[in-house]
Amino acid sequence: MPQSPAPSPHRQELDHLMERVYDEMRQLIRRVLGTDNPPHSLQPSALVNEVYLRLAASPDLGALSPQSILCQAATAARRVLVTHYRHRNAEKRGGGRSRHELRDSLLIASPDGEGHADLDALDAALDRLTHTKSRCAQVVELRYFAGLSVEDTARAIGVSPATVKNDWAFAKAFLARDLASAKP
Amino acid sequence: MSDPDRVSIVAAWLSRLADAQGPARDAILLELKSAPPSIHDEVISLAAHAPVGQRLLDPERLAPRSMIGRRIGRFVLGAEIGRGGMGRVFEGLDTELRRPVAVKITRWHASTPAEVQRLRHEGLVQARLQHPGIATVIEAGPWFDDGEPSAYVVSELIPSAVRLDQHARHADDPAKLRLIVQVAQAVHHAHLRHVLHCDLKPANVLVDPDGRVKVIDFGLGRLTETGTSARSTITGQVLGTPHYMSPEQALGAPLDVRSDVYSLGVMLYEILAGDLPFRPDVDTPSAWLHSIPLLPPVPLRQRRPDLPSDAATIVHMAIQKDPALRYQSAQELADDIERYLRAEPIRARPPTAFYRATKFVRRNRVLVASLAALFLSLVAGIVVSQSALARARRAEAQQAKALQAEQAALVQVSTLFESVNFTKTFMERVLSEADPFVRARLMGGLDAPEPTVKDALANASRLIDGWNLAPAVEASLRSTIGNILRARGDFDAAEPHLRAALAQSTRAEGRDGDQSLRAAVDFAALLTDLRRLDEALAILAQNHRLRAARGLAPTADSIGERSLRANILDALGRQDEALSGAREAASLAARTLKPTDRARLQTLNDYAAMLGRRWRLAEAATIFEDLARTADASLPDLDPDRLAYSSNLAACNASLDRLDESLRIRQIVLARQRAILGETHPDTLLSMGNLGGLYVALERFDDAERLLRNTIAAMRLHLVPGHPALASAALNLASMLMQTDRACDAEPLAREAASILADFGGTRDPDYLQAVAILADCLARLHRPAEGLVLVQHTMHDIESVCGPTPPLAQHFLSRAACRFALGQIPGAEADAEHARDIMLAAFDPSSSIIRRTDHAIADARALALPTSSR
Repeated sequence: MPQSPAPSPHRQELDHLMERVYDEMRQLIRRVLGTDNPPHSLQPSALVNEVYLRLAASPDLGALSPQSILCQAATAARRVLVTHYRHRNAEKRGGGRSRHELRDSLLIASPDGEGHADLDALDAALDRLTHTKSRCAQVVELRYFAGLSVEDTARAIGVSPATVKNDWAFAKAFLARDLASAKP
Repeated sequence: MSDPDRVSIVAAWLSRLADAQGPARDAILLELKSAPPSIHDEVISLAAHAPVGQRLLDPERLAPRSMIGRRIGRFVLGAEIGRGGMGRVFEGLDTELRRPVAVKITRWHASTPAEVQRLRHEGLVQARLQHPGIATVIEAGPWFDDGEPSAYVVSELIPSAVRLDQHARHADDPAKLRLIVQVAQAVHHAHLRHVLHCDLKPANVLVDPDGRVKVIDFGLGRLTETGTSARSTITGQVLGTPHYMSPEQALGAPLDVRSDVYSLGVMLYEILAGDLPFRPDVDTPSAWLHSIPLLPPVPLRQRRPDLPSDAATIVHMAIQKDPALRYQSAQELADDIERYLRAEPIRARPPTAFYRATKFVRRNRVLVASLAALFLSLVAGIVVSQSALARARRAEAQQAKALQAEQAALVQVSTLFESVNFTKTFMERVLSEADPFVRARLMGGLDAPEPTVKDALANASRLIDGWNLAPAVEASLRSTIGNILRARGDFDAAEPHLRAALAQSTRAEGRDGDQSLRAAVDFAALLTDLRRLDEALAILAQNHRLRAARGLAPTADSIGERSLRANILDALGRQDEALSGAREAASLAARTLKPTDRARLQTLNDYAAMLGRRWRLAEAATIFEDLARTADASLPDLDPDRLAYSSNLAACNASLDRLDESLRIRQIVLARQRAILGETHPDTLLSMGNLGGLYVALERFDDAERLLRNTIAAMRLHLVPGHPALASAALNLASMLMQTDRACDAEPLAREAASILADFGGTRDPDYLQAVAILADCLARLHRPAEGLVLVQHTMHDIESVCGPTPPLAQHFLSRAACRFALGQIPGAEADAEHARDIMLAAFDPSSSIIRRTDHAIADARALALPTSSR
């Protein structure tokens, strides 16, 4: 375990990664929030900063591979988005403005193909998936929350693209079943 | 599910399934059966959710662009407030009138200026819909959403509104019903202005905090389709949810207001029952589209036993597959619900009281065919003898002639100018409109709107009531109306007319007059259709006595009577008497009537049909062949009787394993039926079902499946519920599915067929018994062999006594063998299989394909004896 700051190759790698993560985050925000102008707490730069801080706080940063940094970033993105969603929902219950057909705009497509499911519920389902097979949950984080392709995901967690495809198929069905059974 | 390796295995299966479709997918599912049961079950369970999962995390669905601040004309967009398959909805501001609006942006492809024009026009039409229950459309037009052709629709914003189903969750039943009344009235308002909704669903019905309903997205279904016809285009429609789509819409057929009535009915069902009327096995849009015309709704009272039956009847009438059987307008639905809420009698009548009797003329049918089937795959189908229909049609023609004579007589002897007028009106209204053949000739097709027939008959009937006619004239007119209604299968409606015809002619000329005797036979035939067999027999017996008393020689009429009597005895289960009666009638006809006399042909057909049902196929085929030849030589080209005899011959040949010959004849018959009767006539549909059965026997499974699925869908749309032709086609499809290892899909079809046939011919009917054998075989394959065994044990005795040692009995043995193999009762099963094979060998050449199929079926049944864990 090196005690000194990480060697420069790793630094460079991290900076390069962060650039990429930043792009990924932008896309993510756009996809999930449907806007280029999110509230300040969700600015891509803020998200990236948070991820960076989490990583920097890690005592063994130097030992981290670029791949694991990407994984951490995806997990962080998930945490930040879910937290933000909870926060906004709480605000709304406290008397937000009324709309028709109202859903939060922080949404995922819902199982019935209309309206939207609850990001909170998806988060809980992902936790359950982690218990069943953590790699599948990781695949979801990378594919969905970080927007990586099958190939990039495979590189990030060091398995074959075919395995990622299998895990992705399993995860989607698992989450759909879990969400369906968790419905009241 | 905690073992990671197991997860990997399951994941690999899921991934393979996700990439495969159709037969490839079936092959994987088959392979999956050899996996350990815990893996198998987990994969199946997850696969059911895979389509939802696909959408859940679909990156495509997650790529909306921000619209905040963008302008469309005078409207500025705000936050997105909703999203559906059809597009996205934004809050917006009308900058001129300074009021909030809702702006929907929807995928729409306008490629020509004409289409853009049409879109504007539709927007204008909608803008004209002014109703408190309809969200007012302010403007609509084409728009380019980042270069992507789209359409925008601006409408009033309804603050604090929730979806219909969310609102209904907290409402009691009367409140739920009142909600649908509001929706129906709004929809009716639009219908009166020629605007269909085409996409009614809970998401398109908003309820404000005061409980007022607002229907949104009116006419968008039509707006979003390309092309200018009123047809729904599948591509245009599937964008939305198909759950509430009418069968005609799912089939891409022309739409009218009754399509919206269906969607209203489904919404009502859903808010009352908490679930949709039916669901396909897989929840994908294409599975829905295929299922909507096919799957029967779960009876509402099964889910809500506490709901009064009138309420359930209203819902079920609204969701009838056949538009003609639904409420004919949204207003009618609203009115009936209101009647119910006021505790007045409703207009809808439960199917048992009315429609179940509304079947096609059932006499003289032939089971030819049927099913040496399941595994033997020789389901050529039940032939509800078309000649029965033909006879009814001919009766109409005779009545028409009689009427003409009467008319002439009236002109000569009567000073009643009105009578002439009356008869003329009557002829025009009733005959030209009601008789499909006349309609075909007059209007060049059978597509004239059906409801007018019923209306015309009702009109004619009112005309008679209002005129004080001589008994003989009234008898003749009533007889015409009654026979036409009967030919159309509307037995309940025919009853009072034919009863009155008999009473009036008796008044005019005594019970033993010629007209009375004929009226009595007509009435007896109708009573047979209504299953009032004892009454029918009594009337025929009386006729017989009266004819004897007058010393009349056998005539076409009296021979027809004998033939009818034999058919009634058959239906009563008095089978020996029936067969000898039919034989006597046939020999009398052969001796006393001219070779080309229709009554002779008809009587011989009835006799051959009865032989066929007893599996004396070779004899029956000889008679049918002779009839077909005579008819070809003596009857006009387009005569329906010619088709009937050939059709019966084809069915006989199919059961005799002369498949190629049967196919040849069947194709000719079908081509003619299509040309003469049209695609949706019951005879044509029946022939299509039989052709499907032939494909099954010929092992052309893909052709068979496609044809049978389409045919069944069309039958559900065009035939009255419980029509035996549907049972026949369903059994053919079930047989095909079982041969391709899809017993799971086959079971509901076999069950439905059995229930139709029991209702139609009773539980000793050979067709019904065959259906039970198929069902039992299904159950054996679905790991429920004990249930199957109970069923087949029950029917074994009946089939043996009705058909003797013939292929239908062999089939029962095979079914029982399958059940016993699956239960591990090997010796009994082997004995059954042996029995089946012996019977088949006695009937067919050892080298014939049917024997090969029998052996194949026995091998399949043996495979069921393997331990379940390895399957």
